[in-house]
Amino acid sequence: MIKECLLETKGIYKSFGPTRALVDVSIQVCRGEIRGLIGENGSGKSTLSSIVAGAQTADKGEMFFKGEQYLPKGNVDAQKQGISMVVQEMGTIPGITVASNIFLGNLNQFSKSGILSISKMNKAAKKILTEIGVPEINPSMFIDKLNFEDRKIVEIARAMYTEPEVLIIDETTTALAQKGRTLLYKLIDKMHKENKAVLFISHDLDELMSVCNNITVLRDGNLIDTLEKEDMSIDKMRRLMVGRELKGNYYRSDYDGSYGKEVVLDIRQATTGVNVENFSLQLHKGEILGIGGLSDCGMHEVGRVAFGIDKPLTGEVKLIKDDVLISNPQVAIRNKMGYVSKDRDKEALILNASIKDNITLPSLPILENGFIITNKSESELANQGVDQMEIKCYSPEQRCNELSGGNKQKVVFAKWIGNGSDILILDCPTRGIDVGVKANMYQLMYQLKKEGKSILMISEELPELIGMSDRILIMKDGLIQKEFARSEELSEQDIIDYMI
Amino acid sequence: MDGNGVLAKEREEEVMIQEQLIAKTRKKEKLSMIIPFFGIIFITVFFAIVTKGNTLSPSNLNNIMNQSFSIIIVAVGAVFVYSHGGMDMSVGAVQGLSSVVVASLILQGAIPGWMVLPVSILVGTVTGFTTGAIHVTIGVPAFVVSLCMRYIATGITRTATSAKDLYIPYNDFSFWNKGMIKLVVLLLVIGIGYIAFKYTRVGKYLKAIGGNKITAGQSGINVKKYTVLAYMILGSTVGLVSFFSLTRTGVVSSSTGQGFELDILTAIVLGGFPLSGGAKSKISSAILGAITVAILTNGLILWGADPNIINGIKGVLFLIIVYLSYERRKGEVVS
Repeated sequence: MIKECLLETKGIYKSFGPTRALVDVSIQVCRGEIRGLIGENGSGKSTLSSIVAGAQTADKGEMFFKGEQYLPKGNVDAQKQGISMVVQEMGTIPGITVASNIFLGNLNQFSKSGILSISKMNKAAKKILTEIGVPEINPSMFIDKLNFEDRKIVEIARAMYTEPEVLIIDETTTALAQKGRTLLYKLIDKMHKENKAVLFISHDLDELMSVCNNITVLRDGNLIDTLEKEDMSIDKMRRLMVGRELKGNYYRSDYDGSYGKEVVLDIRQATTGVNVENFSLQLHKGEILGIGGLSDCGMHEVGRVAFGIDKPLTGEVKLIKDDVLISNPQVAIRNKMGYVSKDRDKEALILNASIKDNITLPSLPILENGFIITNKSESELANQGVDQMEIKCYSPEQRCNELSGGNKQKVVFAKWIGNGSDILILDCPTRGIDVGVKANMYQLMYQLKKEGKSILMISEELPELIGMSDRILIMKDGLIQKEFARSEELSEQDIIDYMI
Repeated sequence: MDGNGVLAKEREEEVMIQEQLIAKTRKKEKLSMIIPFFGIIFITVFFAIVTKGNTLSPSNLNNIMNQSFSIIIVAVGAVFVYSHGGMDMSVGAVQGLSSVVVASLILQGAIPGWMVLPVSILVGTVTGFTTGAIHVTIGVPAFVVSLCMRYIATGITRTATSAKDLYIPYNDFSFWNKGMIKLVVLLLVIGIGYIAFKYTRVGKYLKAIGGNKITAGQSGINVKKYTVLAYMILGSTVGLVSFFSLTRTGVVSSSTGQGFELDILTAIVLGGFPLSGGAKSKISSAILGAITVAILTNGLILWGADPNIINGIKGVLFLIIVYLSYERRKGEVVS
């Protein structure tokens, strides 16, 4: 069978300020091909895909689509030409309806002499939503009413309604549970059968192995290799991505699951306006307590309540040792608590501030000498964090928005390690992070546990919960359904039944 | 051996390209820091030429000094507000209000001479507190609250001066208007402002709030408290300036302070200060901008521009600067 090349990039270069995101990258994607794109954070896979999708322009290099030179003027233009993308971040716009989100930037087709026909638009939206397998989403509904996963599905609908010949999927499955994934795999299969092509970016190597025909590996902006189906293996992919052998255990290796007797954090009968009702938990000294469930089960809210961001309407959050009630983040931090938000870019980091500014922020009161905070004391703390977390940067003065996702998360961790937190609330601590950094994070968590610190780990990833927690609480509809102790026999299937 | 040689050479090339990129970024950053300096030199030379050197005469330099004095001091105060992404449109009106309150108290003999300065600062600080407190407690944008504050303050000033302008015996305060004293005050304000902004919690927290309010809150910053504090700091500088201009001129009229907030806003923007606040906020930008505004205003007058048209010219200039420095992609001003 002769394969017809559908999309080709030739010698693409791109840099952001001093960071080189892509160096001489050339790929060819043929018709009917499902191409995986892997690499650690900062390897350039998202940059490459957004250049192909027209959201960014390359510094140098050419692209060809269906044999002709391809120069998209933006992502709407790219979509018109036949290349659509579902992005990693939340790409829907709040405050407008599902249908308006789907046809964003393409409303002209429904308007006549300047007046938009809402009913026509809704009808078209309904059609595409039914086609991709979610007839239950109502096009005239405000997007805000949908949960995270359904919003992502709306984005998929937006990418699909123009019937693209190349579909780019960037880390979308991280945000999707089973329903969304099944839907996406079906779409991918359909694209394959229709002799179109898919560029699929994911951190989930197992997923890539089962979905893709071949996989291109990027590292530090360079194209390392493209593996055909028969050459793929998880170990090989990891090695190519990281550029070295990964040593030791991924998660912690012990199954003893013991922790201190002393209760450090006590949540009693907490009820919030959203999702959490009469919720109680006790976190012990030296314990990694995992909370799992579907994304809207209330576990993220529990994290917010524990740190005093949301105040419970009834009930209380108490630190046992000093008999302190947590009423806001200031009290929590004063009492050596730290919080890693699941929304890194919006809540955990100041993106246009430096690594140093971010790391030192919660520690400024500690660094104060009289009223003065010297540059030297700040730099010391920041350097210590950069070294300890192995943050890849050319200087602690580098701005966080130039860093990759994994490095950003390291900065967030450095914030709370730096001020010596004893209790850490980690909400999805490894969301959108590649294997190399993930392994670092797990080692760090285990080390913290051994130092007698306590961790409340909220996660949507079951392997991580099973692999790291001393105890796991599974939540559904704001209530704890089941508690599991650490055990080697515990499987994902045991847990899933209690989540759904 | 050969293969290794090629690899090493490639690596060397890599390092070189990386270094070039870093140098390029640094250069860009430096350039954006230098531009405001060139702005000052350019307008100084420009006005010196078009006024045939009049702008550089000793008596005019003294004039420029006097005008810069007020703008610089309040610009230093304004740094605390603009760095956290706030805005205050009531500056001029508050200067008027503070002058009216102080002048009335002096005329009624209600306060001794030494109390005049503290009371003036107090009036500014209290109005700043009110603006900030209303802004954070009921969540109305600071722009709107400060506009309301401007109308209220202007109303009071106009009422108090409607019958006739208030004159105070300004000879009592001639001590304060000696050049040296004013220089010392100016340097003190700049010094304290610089240290407070760069080396204390206050400045660092405000920059953090400007960068990301949510992150700031989750990092243990009492966002509301520091926001109010910022408006109080700005208010206190307005009060201070009001004292000096009152004791220099000896009169309060309905137009006292009018349009001052636009001078401050222009100074902030001209100095390359990001209107959205955040990490790139610097005291030096505000000071440079303040000097630029003073030279500009003065130069336009000496050039023979109708004083009534000067505000119009400033408005156009303001628009041009914002246009040039606006980063469309991020929706940020000056980054």
